[in-house]
Amino acid sequence: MTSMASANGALRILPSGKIPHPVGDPTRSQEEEVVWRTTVVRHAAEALAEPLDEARVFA
Amino acid sequence: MIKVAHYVNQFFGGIGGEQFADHPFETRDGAVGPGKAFEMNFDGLAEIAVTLVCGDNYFQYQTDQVIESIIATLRDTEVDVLIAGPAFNAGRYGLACANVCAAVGESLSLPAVTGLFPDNPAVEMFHDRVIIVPTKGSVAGMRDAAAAMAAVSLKLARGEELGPASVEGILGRGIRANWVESVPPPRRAVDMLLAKIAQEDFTTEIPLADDRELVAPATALPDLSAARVALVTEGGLVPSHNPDKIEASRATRWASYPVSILDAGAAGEVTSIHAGFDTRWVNDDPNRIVPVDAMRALQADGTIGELHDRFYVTVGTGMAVTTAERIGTEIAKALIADGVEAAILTST
Repeated sequence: MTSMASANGALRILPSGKIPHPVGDPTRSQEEEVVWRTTVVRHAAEALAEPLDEARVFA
Repeated sequence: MIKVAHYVNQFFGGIGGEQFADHPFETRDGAVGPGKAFEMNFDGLAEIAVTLVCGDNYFQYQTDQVIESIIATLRDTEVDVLIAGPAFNAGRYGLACANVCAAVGESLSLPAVTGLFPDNPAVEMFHDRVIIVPTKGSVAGMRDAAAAMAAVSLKLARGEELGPASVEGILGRGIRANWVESVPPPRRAVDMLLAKIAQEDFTTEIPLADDRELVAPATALPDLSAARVALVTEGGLVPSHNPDKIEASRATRWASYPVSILDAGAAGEVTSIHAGFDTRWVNDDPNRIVPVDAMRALQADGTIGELHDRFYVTVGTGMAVTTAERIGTEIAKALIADGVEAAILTST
């Protein structure tokens, strides 16, 4: 969905989980999932501090 | 001999400038001002039978009365087509011209054409009801406008069908008509693709309206570790009774709730009402859509300054772009009022 995000004007875009759980990964155990989610959200937060001129997908 | 009616304002009618904008409606026999330029372009095939003159202000204040007078005049003086302006980029004059064209079409079934600069506000209001020849932005474009409008008006007077707007040199009215192309579709499609690959110009057969404004990127946070960051979602996560009645699809509403309702044990007291995805995983663990646990961890380790104590929610499925723009703007204003400096938006 990242191409749709950039096509519609989103500027800082982070691909993460799947559509039904964008910051969830039910294939992991609960503890692992929390660790994984924290890493993903950390990347999202860091993107907020990233200067940019145009849309970027933070892969 | 084709007979033409010509509508002009006080200036082109030779009465005077802005100080005469209140001049009431009057009629003159024959061509006046730019009407003579039209007659030159008609090449003897048509003549201006009557010129309708009205002050730009007078028209705005007395629109109905002036239109009535024009219609009465045209019932008496038979004409085959009406030309209005050209008004170029003049606002009041453009509105008057477009109004007159629309009115004579509706009341008398009289074909009409006007000339307007594409940015003239009258274009947006009337382009679907009135035939408009695009002109330059000022009277410097009179010669070209007169030639173009004369050509169109003769066609209209003869009852000829107009072809596609781009062919006829008029602004599109949003009318779709079918015709049979001689070149078969696969050939046209391949030609278009080859042109696109070669980075040559090509004309799409189906233009998609794209008048979105580009949004400039917000300035990056100077210090993430001091920032108040909020969570926003289009995932429809709300208290189970959906107190703000956010719609499950084509939503028009949004709401905010305390993040405390998502703390441990919240599953069951919140639910996703989003009709566009299988919500079982986020209902099992709402953090999978509104990652409060992760944000609390990032606050605890100093990555972010603070997680804002409210999260913001709507349902994105089937949402009209204009609605999304409105909701985004409203949420942003609420966040800014609360001292929030950045937001993470989760989307399904």
